[in-house]
Amino acid sequence: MLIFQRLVTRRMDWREKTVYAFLLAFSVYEAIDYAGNLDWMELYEWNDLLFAGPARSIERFLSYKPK
Amino acid sequence: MMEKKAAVPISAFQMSLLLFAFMTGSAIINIPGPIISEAFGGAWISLLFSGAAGLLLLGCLLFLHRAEPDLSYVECSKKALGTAVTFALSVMTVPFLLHIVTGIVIDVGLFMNSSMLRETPNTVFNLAIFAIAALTARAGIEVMARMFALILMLIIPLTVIVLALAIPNYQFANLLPVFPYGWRPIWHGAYSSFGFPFEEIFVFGMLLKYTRKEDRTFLGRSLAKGFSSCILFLILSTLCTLMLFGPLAPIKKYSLFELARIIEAFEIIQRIESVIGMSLIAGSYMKESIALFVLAHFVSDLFKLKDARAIMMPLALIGFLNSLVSYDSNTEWIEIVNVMHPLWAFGGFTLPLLLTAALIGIKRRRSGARASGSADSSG
Repeated sequence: MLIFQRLVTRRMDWREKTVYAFLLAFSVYEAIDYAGNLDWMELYEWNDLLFAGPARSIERFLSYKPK
Repeated sequence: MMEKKAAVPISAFQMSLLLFAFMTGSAIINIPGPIISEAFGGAWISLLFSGAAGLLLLGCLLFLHRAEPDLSYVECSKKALGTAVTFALSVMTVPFLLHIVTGIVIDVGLFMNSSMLRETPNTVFNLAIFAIAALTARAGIEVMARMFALILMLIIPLTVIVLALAIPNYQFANLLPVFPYGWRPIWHGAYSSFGFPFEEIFVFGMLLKYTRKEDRTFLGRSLAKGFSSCILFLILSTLCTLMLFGPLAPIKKYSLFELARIIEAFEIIQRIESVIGMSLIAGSYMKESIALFVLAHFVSDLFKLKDARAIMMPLALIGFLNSLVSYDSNTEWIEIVNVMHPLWAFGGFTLPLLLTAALIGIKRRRSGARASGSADSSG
């Protein structure tokens, strides 16, 4: 319904079309990943690449293990 | 034909209610257990520290709002840092907003699965919450402000009543010792609770421009009151959990829910944990709606779209699918929230906000100095 409203009843400019198309493409990517259980790179895998090392170091530094 | 609806401004009081709803939404039940496991008896001191740091972030947001009252954070950032730098910084901010949108719903699903409806698949909760939150966010900020005031009037008194009914079971001695292992656990608790929920106050950078013009003078006071109430509410629930469970508090994941479970008052009031469950669902729904609204407006302002409502549903769909594929086990999710979230929040929210505020401050000082210099030379 919304896609119909956006694409047919109101003219979208190129920015809106691009963002809308990107979001739909990303949804399809996630849907295929979920349906096929493919374990593709998702938000948290990218985040893991960026932050995992420093985040775990901070956590280790601050954690206190009662003896 | 769909026309772009003009955003209706809301009052400063409504904005502070939105802030309270957003900050306390899911934190009230998710915060006490984990923070006690990190900071032990000093959990309330950790909350005070992280709350104070959160107030500083609120100060930065108000500074930006005073400098550019009609601009959102993204527009301010584009003005101060330029479009390219804003895009570069948003590479961390947009995924983090998506993580918040996903995380709130996953938390509700995990709570329902572990406490109330064990056999129901997570997908059912996720889909329902995303659908309702997307429709609410699409209705606009005014609708949210009006509706959430009613929901808050219901859930705050109910939560306070639940805490009060447990008074006969509280042991004040359980509050001691405050520093059983020194200061390090306190800093650990402060670091975690700053990441969730206090650092998330950043999202109000996208909302403050919707405040009514005549209310802008006392907006800061209203928001500070809302934020302080949130800190006090979280401290209260943490203290109650500590007094009730003592050394067992760290192993209670949904401690308020457990607290409500053991209440037996006047022989007829017992097993009222569903009240807390209801509060969590309502609180998470409010937070989810606000987060989705902010995500859509962030992307919309970033790419200069005419109407943010157009991307509300696709973003909700992405959030829903992300909640299905994002984690393989509860342990992985707990690691994402406890370990990754605080640092990610710093990179995605705090760093860009501090940069923008600092640059706008420098620019204003320079332009002020130039104006006073030209006034002196003409005088």
